[in-house]
Amino acid sequence: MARDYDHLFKLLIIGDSGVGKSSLLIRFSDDMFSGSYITTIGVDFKIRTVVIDGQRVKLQIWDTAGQERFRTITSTYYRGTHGVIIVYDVTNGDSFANVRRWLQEIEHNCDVVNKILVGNKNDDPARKVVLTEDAQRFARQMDIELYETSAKDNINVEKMFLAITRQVLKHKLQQNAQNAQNTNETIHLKPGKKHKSRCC
Amino acid sequence: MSSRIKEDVQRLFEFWCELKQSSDGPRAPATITECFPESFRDSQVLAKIGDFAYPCEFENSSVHSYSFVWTSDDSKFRFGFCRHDPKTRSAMVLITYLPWHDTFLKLLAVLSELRRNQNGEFQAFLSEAYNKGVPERGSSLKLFYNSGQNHFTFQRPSQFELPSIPENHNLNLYYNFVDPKNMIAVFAAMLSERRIIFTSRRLDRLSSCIQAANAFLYPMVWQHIFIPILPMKMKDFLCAPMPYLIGVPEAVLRTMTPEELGEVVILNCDNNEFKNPFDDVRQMPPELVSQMKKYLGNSNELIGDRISKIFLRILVQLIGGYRDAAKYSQGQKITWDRDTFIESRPPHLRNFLTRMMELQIFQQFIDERLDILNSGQGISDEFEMETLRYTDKMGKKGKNYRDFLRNVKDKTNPAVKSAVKSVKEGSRGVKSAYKDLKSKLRDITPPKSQFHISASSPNDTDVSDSQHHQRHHSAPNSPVFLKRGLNNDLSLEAGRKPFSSYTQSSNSHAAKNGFTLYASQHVMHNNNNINLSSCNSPMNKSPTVSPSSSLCSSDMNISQELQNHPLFKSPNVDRSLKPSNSLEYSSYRSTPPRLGAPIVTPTIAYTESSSEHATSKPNSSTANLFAIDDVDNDSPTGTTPSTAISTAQSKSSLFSTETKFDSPPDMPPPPIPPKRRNGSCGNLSSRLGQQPSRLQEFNSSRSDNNQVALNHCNDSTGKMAPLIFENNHFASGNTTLPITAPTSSGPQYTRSLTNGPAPIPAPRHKTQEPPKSDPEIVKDLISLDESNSSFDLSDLDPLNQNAKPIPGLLSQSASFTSNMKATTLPSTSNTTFSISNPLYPEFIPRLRNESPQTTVINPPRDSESELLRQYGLDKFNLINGSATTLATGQQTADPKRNWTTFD
Repeated sequence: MARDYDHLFKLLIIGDSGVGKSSLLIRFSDDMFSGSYITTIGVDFKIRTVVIDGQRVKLQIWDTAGQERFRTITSTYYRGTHGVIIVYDVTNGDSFANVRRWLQEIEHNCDVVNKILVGNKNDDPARKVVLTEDAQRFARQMDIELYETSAKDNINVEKMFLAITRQVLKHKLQQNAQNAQNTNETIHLKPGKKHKSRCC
Repeated sequence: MSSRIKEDVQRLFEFWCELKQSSDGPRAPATITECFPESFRDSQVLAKIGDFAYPCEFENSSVHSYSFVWTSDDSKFRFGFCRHDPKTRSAMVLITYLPWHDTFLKLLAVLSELRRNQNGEFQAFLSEAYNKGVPERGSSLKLFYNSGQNHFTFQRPSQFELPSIPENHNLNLYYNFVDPKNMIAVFAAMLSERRIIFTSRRLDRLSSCIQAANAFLYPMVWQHIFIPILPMKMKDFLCAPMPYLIGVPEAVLRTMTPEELGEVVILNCDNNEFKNPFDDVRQMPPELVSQMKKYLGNSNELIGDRISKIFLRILVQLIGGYRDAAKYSQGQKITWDRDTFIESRPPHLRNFLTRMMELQIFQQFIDERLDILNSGQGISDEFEMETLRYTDKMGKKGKNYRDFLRNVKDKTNPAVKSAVKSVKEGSRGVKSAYKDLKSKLRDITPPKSQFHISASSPNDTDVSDSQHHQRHHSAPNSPVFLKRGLNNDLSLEAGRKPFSSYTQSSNSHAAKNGFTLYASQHVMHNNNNINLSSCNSPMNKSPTVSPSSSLCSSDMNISQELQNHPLFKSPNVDRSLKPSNSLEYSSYRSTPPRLGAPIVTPTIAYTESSSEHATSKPNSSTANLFAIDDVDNDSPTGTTPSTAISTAQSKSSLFSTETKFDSPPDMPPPPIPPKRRNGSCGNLSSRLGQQPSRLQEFNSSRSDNNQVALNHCNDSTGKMAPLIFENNHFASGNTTLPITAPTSSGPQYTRSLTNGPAPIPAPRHKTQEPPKSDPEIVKDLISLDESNSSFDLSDLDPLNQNAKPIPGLLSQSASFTSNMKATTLPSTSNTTFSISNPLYPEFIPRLRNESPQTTVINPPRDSESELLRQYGLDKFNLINGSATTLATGQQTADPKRNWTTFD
């Protein structure tokens, strides 16, 4: 059976519960009506196929329950994923603190290359406590893209998902090219760990 | 924090319902036909429960029960227990936050019986269970049904106890269907946090194997996706890129392609096929792997919590020294440094440990332990105790974490600063002293050495140390003598329920003493035989269930039986003759602290047998809970246990009694040559001051047992009496423990007694107890109980140096020493208990109230001198044991092996 996609990417969405991960997923997903399993078996995922640069990319975005109990999320959790979407709630400082910690941990210990930082619930300036400048500074420091979104008002959601997808795709193509080069010329190239990023 | 079990649960269960699959076919969604409470509105549950009750097409030809797990928002587990009855074509499901697998699986059997027979009472029973709340730690809740004739006991399990065979249903199935080699492989895969799939045609086997494998991670907790039963509808979750542990019915797995699954570890529980693209076993330190192989390969000894202990010890060797890397400074929180940790480990472990640092399960483990330490609480669980044993064995002086504990205590608690150094030095001194003693003990005769030890250990450190050693004894590989103690324990345990009645029975039946006393050596010989056969498990006796058959899982009766009797406990476990050693494990497993299944079962079986069912069903005698299951189960397999038992009946009434009480059939008194035993018993008994009480208790339990046994094997009564007698002697020799009467729990028991029909058959009078001793005993008990009420939880905290001596513990230790002096016999029962009952201080008070044995549970372990004494005891035991009773070659060999385990 012919595949209906050119690439399959599995992404993780992490962040405290209550930051709106599920809402983001639902907003993004093809299927607006499918129920959620996160409260049943502690895990959920949504699928959507997007076309980027003429290539069909099937995205699976995975979410698990109760991540806030982790002081750090270790590398085994990211193993096998192509990219990570890190979500905090702009109205909740704690959720941002957790995300910072996790991101720093990722930086130290994991080879998760593709990641994106998302400040959700960015729809009520009055309640916003995580300032864009602070978040942006941190993002720059971590060499990561930042998006402020609102799943409720559907602000930036699509853009954000496309950005991470593009990132992952770029990375994959780059790696493929590298591998090809390596095998052809046996030239030692710089490890492809540098993040391509910052498109906004 | 790392635990995924919900705390503060208010109800025994959240929801009960019965579902039926519509006749449109297997694909049609199941619908709820009846539920309780009807006000239940959790839409998630209502919507998804059908998917888990009918996860896929499956063989539904016999009654079977399994559990499934849901994970809520906060990652806590909610358990579903499901029972399918092919007769009614319906499924019954209980949803609860309590992980009491054995209890709830049994409860389902009772519920379905009630529902079939007395629907009116069913409602009342269900609603009572729903509204009664959850029994507190160490206590139980007893509910009556059948117009008060039967009752079901919700016994709160001791949560830190290791799963053991045969009490733990999940472990039973895992052990029976999965080769040790694959257990190791799964363990290794879990320690790499792989994506792991279990698969089986049988739902009960599937969920049990997963649960059992998961339990081996203790003290760590699987932090990832955990779905013991994955419905067909949710099969896409197998594509998850994160680590998971998922039970996939074979019908579901068949629909998945390898591409979809990706690099996944698969264990087929039906045919023992294991696939792992990563070869995680090879990544483990070869020393540890060979250690596991060696011990797991010895199938003779895997009864009790032995298997759990084997895996626990691997983890102890890997991460038990985590405290060595903890950093603490005055007034600051304790931190933990992974590099320090790696460096502090032996070189051959470092590679693997470096990888372990990346495990979420390890991260959570460390976080949790540090949190506890920082909160100023002590940690005392089976893992820490095992670590203690291990470090002691390895002879780590300065690094001994007891030192650490003290330091932490002192430094983090500004109030107590000074003692650190002195403690350290003191402990060193104690250690060297203890080494001396150790060497001396080798040469000295047991009694003397014992004296020395106790005499030389006036301070509390000594006491705690000795306790520690006792624990050591009770370790699965502990020396032979324990068995005798165990035997006693066993009897105690079996008789636990009847405790309240023991005086009555002994008094009223004292006249029969003569009868029991007549027991000749010949009789005893018979007894021994009986014991042996029973410990071989009933299965050996029934042609259908030979040990060999139990070995292979694929076809045969055994597996079928297991399937049909999810709760069916003992027989399958035995792959071969079980050593008397195992006795010890199983017996201490089933000691009161273990509040779970074992106790519950006896009740049921007991009431059943005594009530109308008794005459009609041979099954009920076997069967514990299964008796009930058997009743409604018309499957052919259901008969096997009964046949096994009936054969056993003729040979050994003892066996039947024990099964009756749900003590594993393989927990007979140790096979000890009659003559020796006789002699030793005589000597011992003469020396023992406290015997009478113990004896009495023993008698009482026995008498109850007999009564039960009588119901089913009237013709074997003649043998019973001698047996009992023998046991009593035996018990007397070993029992040095003061017997505390469960006064607090007394009412409960009495209640059950009065309510429940307690027909006392003649043979019950086997009490050779002199009635006079009763008052004494009672007195002892009372005093102990009083002491219980007076101590504070903090006193049990090993970290708390200011803790005042706990009356119960004190008296216990005192009695312990006195026992040693008087009898020169180590109180093995002590050991057993302390081993099997780890745990957090909070448990103790209740446990102690509940039963005498529990008093032993929480000795202060951090004192060095205790070590000394214990060591002395050990030595002593070895010597003494060889002198008094040399049981089988196996037995004698065991201690040595045990001692060398970690060297």
